[in-house]
Amino acid sequence: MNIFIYDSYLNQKKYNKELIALERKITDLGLNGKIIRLGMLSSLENTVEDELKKRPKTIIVVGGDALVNQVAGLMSGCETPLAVVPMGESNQIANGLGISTKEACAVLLSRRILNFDLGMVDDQPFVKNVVVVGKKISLLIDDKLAVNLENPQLAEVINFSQPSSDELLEGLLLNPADGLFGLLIVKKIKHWFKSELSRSFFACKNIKIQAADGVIVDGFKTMAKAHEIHLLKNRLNIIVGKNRNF
Amino acid sequence: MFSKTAQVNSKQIETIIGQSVKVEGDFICQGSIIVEGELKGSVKTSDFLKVGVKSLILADVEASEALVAGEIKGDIKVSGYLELTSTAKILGNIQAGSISVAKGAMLSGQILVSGQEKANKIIKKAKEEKEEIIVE
Repeated sequence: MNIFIYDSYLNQKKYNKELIALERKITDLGLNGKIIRLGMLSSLENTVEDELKKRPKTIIVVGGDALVNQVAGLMSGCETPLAVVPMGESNQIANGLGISTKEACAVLLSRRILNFDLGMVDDQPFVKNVVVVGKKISLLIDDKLAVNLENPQLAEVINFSQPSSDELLEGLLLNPADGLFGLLIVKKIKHWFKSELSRSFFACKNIKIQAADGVIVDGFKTMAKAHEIHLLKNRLNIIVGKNRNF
Repeated sequence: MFSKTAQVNSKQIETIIGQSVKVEGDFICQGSIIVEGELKGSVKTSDFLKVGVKSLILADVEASEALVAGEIKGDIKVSGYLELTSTAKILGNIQAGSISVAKGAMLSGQILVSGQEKANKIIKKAKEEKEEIIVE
């Protein structure tokens, strides 16, 4: 059976129309299953654990990045695939997986399942990326390379990227199933009359954060203190769209 | 010639050290490395190494092919083709399969090129194969 978990903010009236359209499509395609609407007092952990015991066909998150991140963390090591139907704001993970709200049902139906690596920042899981924030950042990569940065434009640990034409990511090894993540560092280089962006990139398995102001996990959760970023290889089955770029 | 044989395959870039980034440590990897910044330690790759114009490497370097346009203080060991552009500055010994040095490049150290022996072997093998085909 398919289990649909609705994000708590979808209880707002403004999402009624979208949800009705989604449910109609789901029924038409024969994908229907149990719907769980999260409320302010619902425990996501208990809900997901209880449902996983019943061995569902798929767990489908209907909502945004925060819920996808939480459910992915709870499903680490499970055979049941995770699917996403993006709805509301902040759907970067779904975009990265090549899933739009319009095509989500078709993606669900096609069941293109990939075995993903799951990232960890200390004990906090991440699916897509972690941004390291700070004016002075000091990182130790794979216990052998020390990188000290001052005023970087961006320091981002990436499991998989958006399917965009971003020049900074062009030609880089970013595959969420290869047991490696990418560390992308962008710095602004100032010249006399102009400035340009310079990129650095490291494919690695482990990063120790020796100095930074904090990290932002999957674009929604800020952690003031983080010590280590590492990967759990092939921990999560995720249904992906064909418009992904990995 | 170089662009055809030793160009970086953009799908295999494993490491880029950008301008004004300083890295310390030992690099050992399988993919291509592009250095535009500063690197202290050692570098070893079984693929291509590109050292940019403004870069500085204080390390011994090993690669299968390399294009050097910056400064290296350390020994260089390249099993295939090594190209030094006019802006290259090398303080160390060089061992390469084959080499080209542009006018203006600065070198201080010994150079050992072992490519001729390999080339002779390839020519000899090709001749033998040709003879076999004629006999058949």
